[in-house]
Amino acid sequence: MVHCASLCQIDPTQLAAVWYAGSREGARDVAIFYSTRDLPRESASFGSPSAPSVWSPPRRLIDQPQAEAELSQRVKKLGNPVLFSDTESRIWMVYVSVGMGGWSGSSLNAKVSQDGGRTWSNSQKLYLSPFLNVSTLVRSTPVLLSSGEILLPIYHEFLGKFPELLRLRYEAGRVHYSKQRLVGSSDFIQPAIAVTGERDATVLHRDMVRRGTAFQTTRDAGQTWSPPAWTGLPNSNSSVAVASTSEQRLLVAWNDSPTDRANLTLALSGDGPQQWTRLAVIENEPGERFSYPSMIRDRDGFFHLVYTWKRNKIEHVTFNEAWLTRQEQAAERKRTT
Amino acid sequence: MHACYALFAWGIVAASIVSCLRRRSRKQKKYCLLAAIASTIALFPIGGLLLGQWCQGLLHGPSPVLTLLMVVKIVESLSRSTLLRTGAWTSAWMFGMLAGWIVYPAALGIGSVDVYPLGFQGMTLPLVLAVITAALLFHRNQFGYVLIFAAALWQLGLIASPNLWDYLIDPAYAFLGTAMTGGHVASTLWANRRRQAEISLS
Repeated sequence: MVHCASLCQIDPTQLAAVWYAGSREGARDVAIFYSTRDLPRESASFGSPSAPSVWSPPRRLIDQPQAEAELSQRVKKLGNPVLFSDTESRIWMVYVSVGMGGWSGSSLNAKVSQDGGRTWSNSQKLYLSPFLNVSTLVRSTPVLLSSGEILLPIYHEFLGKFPELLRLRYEAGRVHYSKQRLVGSSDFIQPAIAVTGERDATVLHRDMVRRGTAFQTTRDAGQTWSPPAWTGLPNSNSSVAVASTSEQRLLVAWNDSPTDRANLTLALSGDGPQQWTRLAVIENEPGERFSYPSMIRDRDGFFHLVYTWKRNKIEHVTFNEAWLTRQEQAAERKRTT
Repeated sequence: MHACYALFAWGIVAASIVSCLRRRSRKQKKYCLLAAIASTIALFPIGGLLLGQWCQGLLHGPSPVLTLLMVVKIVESLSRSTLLRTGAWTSAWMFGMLAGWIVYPAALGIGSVDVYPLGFQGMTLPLVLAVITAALLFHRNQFGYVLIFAAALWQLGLIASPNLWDYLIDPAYAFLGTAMTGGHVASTLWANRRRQAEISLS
């Protein structure tokens, strides 16, 4: 089983990715792996021995015994990792660990590399809930603020399910943090964030009761957020990935279905997050699962999409804005004829 | 420092459980020894971790305020002296109850307003705490000193959480505070009712 990939650009020429793999989700043998490759201009697979890859051989970044030793705390299992870099070229990995129970017993931990991913700091536990520090999880990539702070979407799923934003910064060898709530108990989890202006951003939410994909916007660099509204895109209680284009439009990768994860589709927003054009179906195979997309735009303007392919491998798809424009024009022609 | 505090705090939990038993016995030396032994139980190794580390990882440890209250209780119980007057204990339990009811429902998702982030940054919570502490000290309530001590430990970064709330309360303290305050209110109401019944009989 491989699942939940996250990637980032670590220097002008390289991409890095993390994901978790093991005998099954939630098993004790699940470990988080790390791999890099030169900035690609073509798609490839990784994360599985059977996937021929131009990615470097996976390196085990952390497993359950190592996490327990680094945290000096009981760790039952590991979960979602998220990888990102900051303005000082540090690479961060924030990952989920569970001390007791299921995913509701999760808490977050941070590891930081200051040498391009060669060595990593010990895990630092992040204390984000006053109630036994349980049930905070992470899934989507963050955005960087002009202040140098990192705005990382997180979520809570113990009694109430709700999305939050974590503000991170690195000072004096330690991770410093605070958080803010996006909306109260709402069944919205796994917020995904994209910047759409100097002080504007949008978050999209996975809906646990399958009403649709919801969004919230900010116009003051994340200080305040609009109440949740519907994008008009369906949601099958599945994770959504979002990135912004050079024109500050939203590009979404998600399962275009209210019931299952059998397809993975790209859609581009029009005038705001309630108008969408479906650009391309990346995967479509009834009965199968293509899930947990994660997407970034590199410094050259290329988009990189990674997702779990039938839980067997991680698929990496690359495209640029010219391709998006062609897909949009084709969709427009199809609509008018 | 964080790990040392966790081991100390869980040792105090064990010692306070023993000292609670002491009240029913007059064998003071025996219970002092038992409390001292119990306080080292957090250092007991199990499966590569110390017992205190297991407890800290799973239960997220008692807050410094509750730890300090437990230390006071142990000393009072074993030395038969009074460090905190009744009014201070009442304030301590009321504080635990009120803080718990303010923080926990919101932290678990009830409503859009979450007061827990106030403990990460800004001056709102420290100012509120300063006002409460000043009011307590103005009324010569010793619980004010406990709050000053907790605020000082927050400045020193004693526990792993940087959040001021985690220095002030924890779920066990909120539960104890609610139970003790509820019990106090119930016994007061019961005593008033009995007094009124006696007056009407006479």
